[in-house]
Amino acid sequence: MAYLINRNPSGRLICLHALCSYLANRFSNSKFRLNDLKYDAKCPYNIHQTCKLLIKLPAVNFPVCPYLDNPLSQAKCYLTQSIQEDKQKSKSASDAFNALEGLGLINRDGKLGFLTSNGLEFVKNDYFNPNTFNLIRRAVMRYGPFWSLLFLCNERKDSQNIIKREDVRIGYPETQEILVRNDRSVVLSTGSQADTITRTRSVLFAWGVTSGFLLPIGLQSPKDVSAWHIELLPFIRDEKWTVHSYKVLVDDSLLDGKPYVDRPLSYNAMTKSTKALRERNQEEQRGVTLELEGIIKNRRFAISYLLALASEQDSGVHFDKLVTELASYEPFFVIDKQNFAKVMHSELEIAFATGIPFREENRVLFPLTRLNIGELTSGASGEIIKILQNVSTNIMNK
Amino acid sequence: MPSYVQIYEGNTNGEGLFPFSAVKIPQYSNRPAYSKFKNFLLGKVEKYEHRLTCDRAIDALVANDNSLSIDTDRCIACLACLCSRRNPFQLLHSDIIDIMNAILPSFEQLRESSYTNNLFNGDLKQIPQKEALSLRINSFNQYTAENEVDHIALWVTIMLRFLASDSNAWIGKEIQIANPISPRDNRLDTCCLSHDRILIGETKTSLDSLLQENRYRVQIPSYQAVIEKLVQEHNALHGQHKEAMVLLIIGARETDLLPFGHSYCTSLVGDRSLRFYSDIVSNNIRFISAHLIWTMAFYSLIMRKRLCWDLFFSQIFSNPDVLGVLSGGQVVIQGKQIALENISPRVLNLAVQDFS
Repeated sequence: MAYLINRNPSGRLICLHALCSYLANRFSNSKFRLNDLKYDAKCPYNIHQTCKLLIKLPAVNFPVCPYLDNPLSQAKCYLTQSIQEDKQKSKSASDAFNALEGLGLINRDGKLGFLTSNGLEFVKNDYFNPNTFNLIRRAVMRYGPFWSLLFLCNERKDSQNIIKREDVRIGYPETQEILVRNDRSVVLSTGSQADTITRTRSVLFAWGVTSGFLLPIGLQSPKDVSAWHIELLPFIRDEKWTVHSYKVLVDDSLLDGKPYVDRPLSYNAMTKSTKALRERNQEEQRGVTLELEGIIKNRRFAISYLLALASEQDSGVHFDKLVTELASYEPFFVIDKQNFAKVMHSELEIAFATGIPFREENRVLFPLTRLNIGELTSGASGEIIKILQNVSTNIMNK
Repeated sequence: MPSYVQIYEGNTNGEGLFPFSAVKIPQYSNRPAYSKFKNFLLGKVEKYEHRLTCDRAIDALVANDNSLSIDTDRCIACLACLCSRRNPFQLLHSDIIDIMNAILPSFEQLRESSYTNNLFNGDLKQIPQKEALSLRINSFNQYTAENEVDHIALWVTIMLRFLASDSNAWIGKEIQIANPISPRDNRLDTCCLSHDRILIGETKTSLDSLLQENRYRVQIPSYQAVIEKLVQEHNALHGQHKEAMVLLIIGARETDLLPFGHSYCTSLVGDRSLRFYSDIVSNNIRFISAHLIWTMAFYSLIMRKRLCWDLFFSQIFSNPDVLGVLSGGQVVIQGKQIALENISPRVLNLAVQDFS
């Protein structure tokens, strides 16, 4: 059940390796809770034991995480925060959990997680072992949004194979829907905010750099490819990744023939967390968005799922037919019938977040990846899946 | 070779920290919502957060097995480590004059200009900058000019507790309040409560950033209104007589804050000084410089007499013509004239206290 990551600390795969190593030391393949990811001063196991990035400050005698604004903070770890102090209210730990899951290193079981065989293999070697590079590459290539990054970089790079970071946008679509409630106009909050998009992009680019698909302009390619994740570490270690242009090193052959995406976003991840609506007087906007969240999830899932089915059948999805068909199941997919086609056009962006980018030809959408459909449908009701299977028979275009 | 002056010898505390290397900043509960300032007034501390006294941008404090020293090549003489203890003299390993001599190249000159009769005689105090080119931050001006939350706001918070007359004075940082004129809640950068006097500081890194941001004209009066109401409610409920003052506390080059008629004013270009003074007069805002706080701390350390902000400011700002205070004196408006004036040694004498 993969989610969209959106916090910078998850961009450092060396930190995720340390987290995984700590989880392996403490839990092996048993289950753990989200809170178990956090540093706990009272527990004999913690991430500081496996972290390679701790630094020694001159003024204190113990090592500290270099990324915390306050190095003496009881939060202890920028990636997860701690049981004793967590100003991020579990959002950091939750994003780290999502990152590990997206990379296929852990699986989710309700509110618990456990290391997968991939996760256990990942931490068998030290981060600085050359074998780790291949494991990193395999891990990032499981995550749906990462595949969209690779496709977008390849498609939008210039003649010198350079991509500018701002040319890639992966996030939740903004549909600009306005509803009237109690004689007041309420704008639905459906899309990712600019800062969230920037953070998601930063993480995906950092993974791209660590795994050898992207090279920040100004840096030399490592001579020994298996040492890529080590040689690029000085860049990844930086507090901020300020480079805007990257050389794209994605081999065309990798993208041909519809690569398989093991961890696409799943049904439950089709909308952003409404906890993000935190400004005062946003209660009404939050309330209405929450009330309609099911429909928003359904219509986004419809796009991703139907593209995934089309991919399996080597066909495309006819956009206009898709709109007409879904409109006939109004209670499930439609908020405002008049603007439905326009809204669905905006919603197509969800496919990139899910991990099924497409190319469009004469209003037909041709998917460029294949998805793990079991993962995608996780959380979706049988009723929705049945409706979409019916719909699929009328919208495919070979 | 770097040179060091040792300031402490002994053991670390239970958290592995040496005295002078860290401060405990109290955190106040915000439950129920918007109760943080109320809890601050009550001194109801939820927990403490440790902060380094010497920011990582400076890294001038060096811990060894059982000692703590200042790397004098890196130290910008902000004095925060020394002032992190209410009474530093009890724990200092070296004499304060030797420490000052080591960290301040022009110590003797500064010392002479800081005798009671000279302290606020119209001359601004020049805190020397380090000459080492390798340092990213080599002066107090530069330090206060960037990273508002971690530099000037934290530094002021440490200094205010040191400069309070009340040995049980308490401090707060980033205290959330509801503000009806702002789409999001506001945070008070720094607060200190000494006896019944509360100082709320809205810190700004420099005159330029303050003018560019241009929020202070609305921000400070709105804080004054919200805080006045909260303090009155607190007093009525607890039968107390607390009084709050909200001050702008401005870092970086102090000469920028001189009134536009002053010959050393460095903010004439673009009429910045004129704009600033016109804004604070029309919006009834009062200000002090970070250099003033530094001067008060420096005076307190070398004279071994605490120059207390609560005693000092209550006298100074009781004159409604005083707009602000700099390290050289008070800025006063008379008619349309704004000028820097000396502060009488009598005022100073009424504001000092022995270290207990």
